[in-house]
Amino acid sequence: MRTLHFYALLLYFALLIFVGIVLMSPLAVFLSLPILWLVIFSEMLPFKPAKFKRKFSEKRYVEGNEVEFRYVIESRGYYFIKDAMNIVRGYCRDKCIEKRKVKLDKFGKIDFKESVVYSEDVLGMHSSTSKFRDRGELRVYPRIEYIRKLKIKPRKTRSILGDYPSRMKGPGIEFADIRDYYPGDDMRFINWKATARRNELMVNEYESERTGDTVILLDVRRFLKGAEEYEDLLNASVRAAATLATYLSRTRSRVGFVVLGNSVDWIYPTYGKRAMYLILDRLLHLRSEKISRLTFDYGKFIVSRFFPPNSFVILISPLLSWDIDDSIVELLAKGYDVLVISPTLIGGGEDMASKILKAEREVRLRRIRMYGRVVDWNIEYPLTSILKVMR
Amino acid sequence: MMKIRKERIFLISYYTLLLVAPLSDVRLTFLTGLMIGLSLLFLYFYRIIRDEILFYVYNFIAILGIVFSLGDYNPYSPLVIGIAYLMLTLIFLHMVYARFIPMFGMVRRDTIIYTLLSLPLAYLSIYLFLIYPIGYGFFGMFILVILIVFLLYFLMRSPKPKKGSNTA
Repeated sequence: MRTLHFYALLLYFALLIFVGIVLMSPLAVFLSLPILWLVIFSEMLPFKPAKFKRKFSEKRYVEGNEVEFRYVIESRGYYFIKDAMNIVRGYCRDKCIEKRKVKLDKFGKIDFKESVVYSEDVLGMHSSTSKFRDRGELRVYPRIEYIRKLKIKPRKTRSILGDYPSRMKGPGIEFADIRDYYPGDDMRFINWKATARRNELMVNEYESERTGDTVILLDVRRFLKGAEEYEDLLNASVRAAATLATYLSRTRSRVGFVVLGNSVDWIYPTYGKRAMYLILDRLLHLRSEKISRLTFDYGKFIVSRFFPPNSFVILISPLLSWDIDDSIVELLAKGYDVLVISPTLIGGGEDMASKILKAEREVRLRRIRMYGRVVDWNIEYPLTSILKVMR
Repeated sequence: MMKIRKERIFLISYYTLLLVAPLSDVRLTFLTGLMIGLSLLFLYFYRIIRDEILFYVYNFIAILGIVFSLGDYNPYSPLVIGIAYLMLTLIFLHMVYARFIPMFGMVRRDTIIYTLLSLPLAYLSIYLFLIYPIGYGFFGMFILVILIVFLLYFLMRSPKPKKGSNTA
């Protein structure tokens, strides 16, 4: 296909001849000749539209990682290639290799759905545009912090061995009590000091460690468009959910996941790495620019409908919606244990709206603190440093 | 320090040369100034609207400025033609840089070479086909007609059909 440049130069040629005739000026005719030569060159010079192959390692990435793309381009002329991640442009004579290193700043799933290849000949007079379906995807997981120990004690534990201290006594690490020796007790558990004091055999008792049901309830409803601070807040919430999911999967507990964003979504409780990958995969799809119309009741309903009572609910929410504290109180009344991790809007403008928002959030925090545990998390600090000091 | 881009340097030098040449004649200076003003106006529109057609409009008006700028001199003089082509070189280079760099991020040396090559070839063509034929009669005119026929052939040929099959 010929470009606008070609037609423009042809028109220049014709108009200069015309001007030369009208103004009786041979100079105008002389000026048209180089244009004619350019057109002749463009017809004679070879042009091969660009084709490309892209290579990159399709593995799982974490925010902040770098990925290297290698483009092998076959063309004779200028090329402009645009895919989901990169714009590659330049000139290629036969076969060229272009390498691009991209830092993955945002988490999410990147689908290479379509690519556009535009190429032009050396003088920009012939062009070729092609769009084609592209394949491949990149999974960029949210940045995960390493939590050594999180003090969670569900009200009720399951019968399978796990990491949560249970109310039942049995084999475990945490010391619970001393009692009289009964025939059949293991010799290892005899407390010799207590035995010496009481002059009768005494044995130690330990808290049995079992698994429990934990639900991560993530509230990433968007009430505001475009504000950078707000964006940071939602991203911090997602990172916190990823961190907790990874930690809980290590503790052999059953982990469920409920997310309130544009719509409600949930994952039934599962064990181990399966739970972790399911949750992390679900977190990839959370990036949305739409304003959410959901109330917190949906989240409460899903938790109480699909997750057993006495589960431990970890709610990650900036506490910006008006109905959230009532719902938390209701969940507590239904027998769920709730830990609220609330990322704070950092900076916070000095205008009246920001002040009202802050005051409302403060009231909600105070009310929730009366019934359950609350972690007020300034996202400038890592989540782990806040959880370390949590009682 | 702000770096002036190459295409701007070419355009500024072009406008300066354009305005210097007709200084001996007030009427031609005014006409050249008018062309430069019009060209700048369309350049301003182009920067706002970003329509490619405006790019070609302001460049054409700028090229037309050469006709008025050198209107007072003998058009058949090799020196005048040389100066006209020097000016044309500047505006061509401006067009090349302004067009290719935003789109492809670079200008290949081949592009500049072919663009510059068109000017000496045109210079030769003037003598070979436009000035000599007047003296050499039939021979010159014959070559001119042959060239036009070849040109028409190159320009009018249809693109190659794509290979394809309905069974695939």
